[in-house]
Amino acid sequence: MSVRLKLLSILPKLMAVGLRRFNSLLNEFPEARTRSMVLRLYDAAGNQVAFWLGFEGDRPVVKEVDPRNPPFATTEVSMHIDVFLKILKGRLDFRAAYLYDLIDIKSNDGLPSTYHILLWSAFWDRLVELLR
Amino acid sequence: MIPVLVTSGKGGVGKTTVAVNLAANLAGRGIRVSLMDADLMAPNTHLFLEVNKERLREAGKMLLPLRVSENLEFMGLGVFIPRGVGVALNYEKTSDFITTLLKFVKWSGDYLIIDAPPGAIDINVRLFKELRGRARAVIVGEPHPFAVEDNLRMLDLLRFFDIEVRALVLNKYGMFSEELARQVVAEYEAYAEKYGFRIVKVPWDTELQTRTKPELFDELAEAVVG
Repeated sequence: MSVRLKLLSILPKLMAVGLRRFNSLLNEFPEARTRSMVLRLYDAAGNQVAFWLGFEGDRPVVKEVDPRNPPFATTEVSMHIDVFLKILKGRLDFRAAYLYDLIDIKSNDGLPSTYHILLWSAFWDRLVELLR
Repeated sequence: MIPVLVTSGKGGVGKTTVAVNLAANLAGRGIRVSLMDADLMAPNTHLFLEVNKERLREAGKMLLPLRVSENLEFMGLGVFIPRGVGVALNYEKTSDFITTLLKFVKWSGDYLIIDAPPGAIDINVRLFKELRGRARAVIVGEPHPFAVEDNLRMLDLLRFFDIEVRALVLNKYGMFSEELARQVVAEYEAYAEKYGFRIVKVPWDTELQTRTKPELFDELAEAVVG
């Protein structure tokens, strides 16, 4: 199954969280306002999709981008689509996935990549909680 | 801020116990102390401190350490790792963690006590290079002959990186044969005299496995700050 098809299994829930809980998430994680992320998901066949998440002015934006040439983001997070789904479905802890070397994080803002991991792991916990 | 490495030539000798109790002793004297768990192989310091695994926050692109008490703050990988999860990080990532802990945490202590990984491994060398010429060190060992070999190597390495060894702790003193312990002390004394560090005996005390007893660490604290 392609990366896109697999993504569809979680997309409606993600959109619902985005629509209903976005502001409360933003209040909890105000650091998000000054940061952006390229999320790159791939499969074993080498297929990949990428999304840019961030703010354009005051407006939150999520858009699909070219995974080979994504726009600048303060961090780039890459993982296998199955890892992504396991995390969001609460079957794999985000921190554990990082510690098992299943997630790559590239930092583009001068901060160490582990800084982002330490700071943002709570966000993933919260997201998983909201998706339940 | 003066960094103080708590290190050892081999693992399992009680570095974390010494680091936590040293930090608590100094904090009890009214000194502001930062405690960093840099032992990425066995990050257990937080277990002694009863810190909440609360969400980490930042201020001005610096992570804020967790407050333990009025004079003691803490940060380490242990607040991040879920219980029972193995760590499969390569050198690049462990080194990145060291950078975060050393340079991107808003430490406010007068002393930064660093619970270091054991042995002359790559990540320790990275740490020593970062702290070259500006740190003090405490070497922790047990009073038996194998530990002497490992700790003499560690002593040499610290001196090579121009890190001032202030004390050598003989931890769990009384647990091993008295005769062996005497031989070990005699061997260390020659080095202590030559390089100007103190030999500090910390008695074997089962309560130290479950709680801090900073009062047992007065001599060490004086060696470190004196």
